Amino acid sequence: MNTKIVFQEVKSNGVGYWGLLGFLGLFILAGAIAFFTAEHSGHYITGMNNQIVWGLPHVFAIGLVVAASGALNIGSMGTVFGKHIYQPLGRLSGLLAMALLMGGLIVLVLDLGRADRLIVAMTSYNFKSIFAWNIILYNGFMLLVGLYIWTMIDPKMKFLYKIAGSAAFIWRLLLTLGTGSIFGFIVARQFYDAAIMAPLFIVLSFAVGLAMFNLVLMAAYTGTKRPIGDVLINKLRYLLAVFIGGVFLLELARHLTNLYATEHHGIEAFILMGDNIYSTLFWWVQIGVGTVLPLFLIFCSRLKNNRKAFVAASVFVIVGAFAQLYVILIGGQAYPLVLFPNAEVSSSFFDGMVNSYQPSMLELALGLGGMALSLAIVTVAVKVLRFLPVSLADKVVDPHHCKS
Amino acid sequence: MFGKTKFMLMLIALATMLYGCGDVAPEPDESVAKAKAEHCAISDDESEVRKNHMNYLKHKRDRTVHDGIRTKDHSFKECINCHVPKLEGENKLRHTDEKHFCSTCHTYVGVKLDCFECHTDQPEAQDAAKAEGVK
Amino acid sequence: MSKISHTADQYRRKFLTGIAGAAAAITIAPGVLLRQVEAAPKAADAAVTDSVRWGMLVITSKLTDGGDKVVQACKKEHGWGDEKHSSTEQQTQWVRKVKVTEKLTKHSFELPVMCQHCETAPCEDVCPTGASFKRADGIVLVDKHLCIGCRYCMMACPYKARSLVHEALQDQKAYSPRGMGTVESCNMCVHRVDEGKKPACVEAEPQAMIFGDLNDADSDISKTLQKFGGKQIRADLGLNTGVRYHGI
Repeated sequence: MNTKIVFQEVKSNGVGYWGLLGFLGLFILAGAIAFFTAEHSGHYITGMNNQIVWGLPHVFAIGLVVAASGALNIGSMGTVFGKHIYQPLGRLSGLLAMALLMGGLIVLVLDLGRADRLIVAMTSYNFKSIFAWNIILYNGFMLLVGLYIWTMIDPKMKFLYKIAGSAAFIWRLLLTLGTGSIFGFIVARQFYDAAIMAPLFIVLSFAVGLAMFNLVLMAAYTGTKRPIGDVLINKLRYLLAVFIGGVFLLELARHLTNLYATEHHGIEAFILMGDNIYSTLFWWVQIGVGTVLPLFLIFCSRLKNNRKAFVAASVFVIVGAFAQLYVILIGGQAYPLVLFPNAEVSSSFFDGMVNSYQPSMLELALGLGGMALSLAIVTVAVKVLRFLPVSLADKVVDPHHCKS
Repeated sequence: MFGKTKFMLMLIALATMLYGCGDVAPEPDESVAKAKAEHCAISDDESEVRKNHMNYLKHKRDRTVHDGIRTKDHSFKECINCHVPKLEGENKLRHTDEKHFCSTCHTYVGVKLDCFECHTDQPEAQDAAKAEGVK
Repeated sequence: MSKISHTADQYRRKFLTGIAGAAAAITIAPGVLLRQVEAAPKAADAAVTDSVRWGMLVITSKLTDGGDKVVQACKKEHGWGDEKHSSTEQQTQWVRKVKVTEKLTKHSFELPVMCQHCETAPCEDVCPTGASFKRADGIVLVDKHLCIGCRYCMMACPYKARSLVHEALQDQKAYSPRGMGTVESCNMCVHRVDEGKKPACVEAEPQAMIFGDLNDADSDISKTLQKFGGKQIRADLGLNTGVRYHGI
C-alpha cells in the first residue's frame, strides 16, 4: 500500500520559503546574542538566582526534549504497531524528533554555567546521575532515529526498517523516562519527590510531541499546497484528544496522591490555591487553555473537519504543556525548602520565603532561539531530502476507506 | 553549479582572511616573568616544562582536590608565587596583561587560559606563603 | 555531675551541666584543646583515607550570636558574598544564620546552616560529571575543574547549601579558588584540615563548635556526641550528615 506513496523534496523557492527561514533566522540570531552575552557576563544578567536555579531556558529545553520524543510517535505507530495510515508520515516524524531534540539540547547546553566545558560533560560521567544517563540517552536517540530515517529513505536499508523503528521507539520511552526522572527522585524538594513524574512526562511527551507534529504537518502541506485529506487529520485529531486525557489523568493522580500526604499539603496549597502566578498558570493555562479548550475544539460537532480548530487545538496543547512545565519547574522551586517541619524559619538566604523569579528577555530569547532552530532544521531538511509525501489525500493514505 | 566566478570569489575571500598571517609575531617579553625567579623550580629542562606543564599541573590538581595532597611540587599556586611579582592596587599584574608570567607564552601561542577563571592570578600574601605546614 | 536520678528535674539538670562541662573542657583547659586537634595530621604527601571521617558538632545554645560570627569567619576565610553585580538572591552564601520558631510552642532558636557533609550526598548522586564528590575522609567538595554549572546539585540539596557564582571574580584566596559559572559550598576548610588545623568557623566560636574525627571513638566530638547526642537537620532523609547540632 505504501509503495504508492511518492516522496519529494519541497521545490518551493519563493518568498514564502526564504521568508520563513529568514524569520526563524532572526530568532536564532537573537538566541545566539543572548548566549554570548550571558556567557561573557555570567548569570547575574539573567533572572535566575541561587534560589530559583533553573529558569525559563530549562522550561524551553525540557519542553523541546519532551516534544522530540513525542514527535517520534507517529512514525512508531506506523512501524512498530503496523498502523498503515501513519507510515507515510514516518520520515517527517523522525526528522521532527531529531530537530526538536537538537533545539532543546542547545538551549540546555548554552545555559550551563560553563557552556565552554561541554567536552567535560561528554567525557566525564557519573553513572549514578540521571543527568549523565540522559546525555547518553540523547546521543543514542539521535543515532537511532537517524538510522530509522535512513531505513525509510534508502531502499537498500529496508531490511532494517522494522528493527530500527522498534529500537528507536523503545529508546524514546527510555529517554522520556529519564527526562521525567530528573524531577522524580529529588528527595529535597516537596514537589519533585514522586516517581509518577516519569510516566507523567511520557504521556506529556505524547501530547506535546503530537501537537508539534500536527502544526509542522499542516504548515508544510498548506505552504507547499500539497493535498492532505480529512481521514488522516481526523486520526491525528482524536489521537491528540486521547493524549490530552492521559496527561490530565496522571496529573490528577499526582495531585491527589500529594494531597493525601500531610507533608505535601503546603506545596499543593501553594500551587493549586495560592495567590501567585503558578496557580493562575495551572488553572487558567494548563487546565483551561491546555486541556478543556482543545478537547472542546476536537469534540465540538460543529467543528468537525474544521482544520483551523485542529491547528488551534494543537497550539493550545503546546501552550498548556509549557505552562505545566513552568509550574512544575519554577513553582516547585519557588516554594521554600522545608528544613524544620511545623516551624517558621528565616535567614539572610531567603529560608522560609517564597522565592521570586522574573524571567529576563535574555532567557526568553535563548529559549525561542532553540525552538526556531528546530523549525529551521525541519525547513531546510524537507527541501534537500525526500521527507514529505507528494500527497496525503484520503485516497492515497487510506484507499479502503475511500472505497467503502 | 560551482561556477568559475564563485570559485574566484571564494579564493579572494580566503586570501583576505589569510592576509597578514605571514608576519612573524613579536617575541614574548619574558623579562617581568623571569625577574622574580629565573628558572623553574621543578625542572631545569625549560622546554620540558613549556611542553608539558599542563600535564604536571593537571596530575597534581587531581591529587590535591581529591586526595588532599598539598605539597609544593607541581603546585599551580607555587608557579604564581614564584613568577608573578607582588604588586598592589592598580599596579597588580593581571593575567590579561601580556607581561603576566602565564600570558607571555599563552598570548604568543594563542592558547586560551582557563585557570584564572577560578584561581587568583596574584601571589599569596608574604606571611601566608611563609606559613609553615606544607613542605 | 549530679547523680543519676529518676526525677525529670534532676535528669534535666544533669543534662545541662553535662553540656556545659563538655564545652568548658574545650575552652578552659588548653591541654584538651591540643588533644582535640586529631591524631597527628596526615603526612603532606599522603592521600586522605576513609579511616577518618571529619565532622562538626554545633551546640546552638553556646553560640554567642546565633551564628553571625561563624558567617563572618567563613566569609573572611573564603572571600564569598561580596559579588559586585549579583542581586541579593544571586549572591553566594556558604553558610547562613537561620532562625527557627516552632509554630505551636513558639520555641525559638538560631543556628548556622551550611553544607552538612552527608555520607550519602544527594549532590554527589545527581552530578552528571562527578564534579560533586565526597573525599575519602567524608568532606563533600566540588571539583571546579569538572563542574559545568548545570545546578542539578543545587536542586537536589535539601539544605540549600550550594550557590552558583553568577559573575566573574578576581583576587580569590589562593587556597580557595572560586569562579564564574561553577557551583560552590562549604568545604569544611579543607585546606586547613589537610594541614591539621580546624575550620575557620570552629576557631571563631570554639566554645560552641567541636570539629573532629567521627570515626575515632576517643575524639572529643565522638565522646560528646555519644554522651549527649547530636541531631541532624532533616534526619528523615537518612543522609547521615557529618554536621550535627545540639539544641535544635
